[in-house]
Amino acid sequence: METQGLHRTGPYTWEVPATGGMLVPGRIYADATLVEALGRDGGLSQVTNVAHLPGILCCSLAMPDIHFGYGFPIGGVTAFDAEEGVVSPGGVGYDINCGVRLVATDLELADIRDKVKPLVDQLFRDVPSGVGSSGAIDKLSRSETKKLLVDGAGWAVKQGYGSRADLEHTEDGGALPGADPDRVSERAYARGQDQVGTLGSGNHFLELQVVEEVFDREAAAAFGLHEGQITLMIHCGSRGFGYQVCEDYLGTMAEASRRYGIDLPDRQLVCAPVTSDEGRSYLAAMACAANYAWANRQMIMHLAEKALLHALRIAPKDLGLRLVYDVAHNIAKLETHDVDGRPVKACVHRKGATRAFGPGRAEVPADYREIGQPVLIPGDMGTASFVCKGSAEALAQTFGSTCHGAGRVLSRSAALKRARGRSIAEELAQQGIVVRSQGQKTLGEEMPEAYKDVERVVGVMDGAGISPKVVRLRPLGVVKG
Amino acid sequence: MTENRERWGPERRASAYAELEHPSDLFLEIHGRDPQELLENALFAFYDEVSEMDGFEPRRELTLEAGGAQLDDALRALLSEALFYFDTEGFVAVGGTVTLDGPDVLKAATSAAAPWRATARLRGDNADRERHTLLHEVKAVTYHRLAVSRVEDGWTATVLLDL
Repeated sequence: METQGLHRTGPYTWEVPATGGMLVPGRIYADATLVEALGRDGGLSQVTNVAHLPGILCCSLAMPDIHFGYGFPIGGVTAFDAEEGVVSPGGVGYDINCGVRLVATDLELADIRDKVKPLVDQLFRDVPSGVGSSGAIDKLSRSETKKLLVDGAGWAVKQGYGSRADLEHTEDGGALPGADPDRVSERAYARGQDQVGTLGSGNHFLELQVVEEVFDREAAAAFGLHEGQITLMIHCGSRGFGYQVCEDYLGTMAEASRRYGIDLPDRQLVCAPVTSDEGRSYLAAMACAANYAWANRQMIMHLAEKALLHALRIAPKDLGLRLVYDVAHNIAKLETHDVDGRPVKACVHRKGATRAFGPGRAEVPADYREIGQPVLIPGDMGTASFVCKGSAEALAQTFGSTCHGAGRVLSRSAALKRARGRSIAEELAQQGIVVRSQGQKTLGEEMPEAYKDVERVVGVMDGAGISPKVVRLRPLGVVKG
Repeated sequence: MTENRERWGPERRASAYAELEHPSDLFLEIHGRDPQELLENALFAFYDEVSEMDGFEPRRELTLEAGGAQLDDALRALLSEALFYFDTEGFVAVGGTVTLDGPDVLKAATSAAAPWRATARLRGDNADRERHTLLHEVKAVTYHRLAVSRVEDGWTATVLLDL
């Protein structure tokens, strides 16, 4: 079967053959329905553009939630040889280490069924959200900020926001190595100085959920999840700090691309060799932003815990809050993968893609290592989110990566047009979902119809054996920025 | 030259800019009778998209300076300056003027060899979330489909704000 120049290579895989300047083919994970939408927004052409970049390994990969992004598609995974390949800020995105954190509780649905509204109201009051949200803590001195940039979530724990156990359940222990605060501009410090512990705006959210269905009892038990249990999901990133790091290094990389004679099919793919001064500098600054994001989510978890304790008037031991896992879905990392039967050190770019390491990998927390890492995939605010698990198949096929969410299907303006004359909050309330938002337009822009069917997206990666489903989480209450 | 004290309002929207379809970000098409007005309207579009300008008063002034080898680079740089002060101080303009430095503005706009500078003198206020409504958090002003061109009735530009 062929569509839009794609050859179907399996029930869930499609290939773009390497032609012209493409160094490798493109491989897209989708079913027959999702693949039809691929060509509409230009994301598919970005898959082929990325395949031109030097040192790319295997193929230019796209997950089923692919949509058009800055240079690289969102939902894209690209691995470059760490010795001969490149690193590109466009392959990570502006919101460095945008990611998801899932927190389990000892509460059952029956415990809070009639209290969802006051709980959401309290979360909305206590966790700063919305455009320009700030002030979760006092402004940090420069020296303290530098410590945060190096230690990430560990810095937040040292300040009393959470416990050491949280770090065990955070990707990379909540701090990417190699962070160098001197590689960060004054503007990045200025944009990030007052935003630690804030949710921000757009598609970022804080969500109270219930475990609605368990697909894999063994994995669910290992992750500490069971049907009827209340969970909390946090989705946000590195705020203005990360945006500015990306902005700064796009300029640096534009010059570097010329200097190193890298032939670019699109100037948004600016990059530099991983081993170059510019490449190393970007990775050091990007690590700072990644660590900022982990500190941010760590602090938000703490603020949310305080809000829940206050609203429910219970003790911490009765709430039983514990971190299931925290994943990054916009990041570049140096990892070792088997390529054609030999171990290769690669710079893996995941932009709108989640790491999905399977059993046995040392990077997976010890208590999850027999199962594979938890993979957290948020859906839209009216449907569901999923916990999946990493797999050996992911390591074999996708450099240990999978999708990151539903992916937009409607533009913001198209969503607003559809929302005109409707109350999205009221519609969600009729489904039993309480929603609070700072932004007037946010609910319309983020309405469930604006996103692809998350069940279908997750189903593709489950069917392909990349990230098998573990549990489905149903939203009860949502705080949007 | 007399200073333009006009207050920006929604009535300016139709002639200043339009939002084009984009799957996830803000893709704007900006118009102006001349390069100065094009940049002025670009700033208006930015503040109109990030805030409800009606609620702001012209309580303080802010001068933005930016340059570029071509007009599109300078437009992006000027909007990036506006974004920086919006993000760090919450500054929202409700009026202002743009001047272009250069011996011949029209030639500079189309010549790769003629770098030039834009200065925006803006009036507005810092956002107070108790009193003001903010609409969008812009991550960056991007190079994606960034373009400036001369058209029959003036100038037009496209710029994408990453959300």
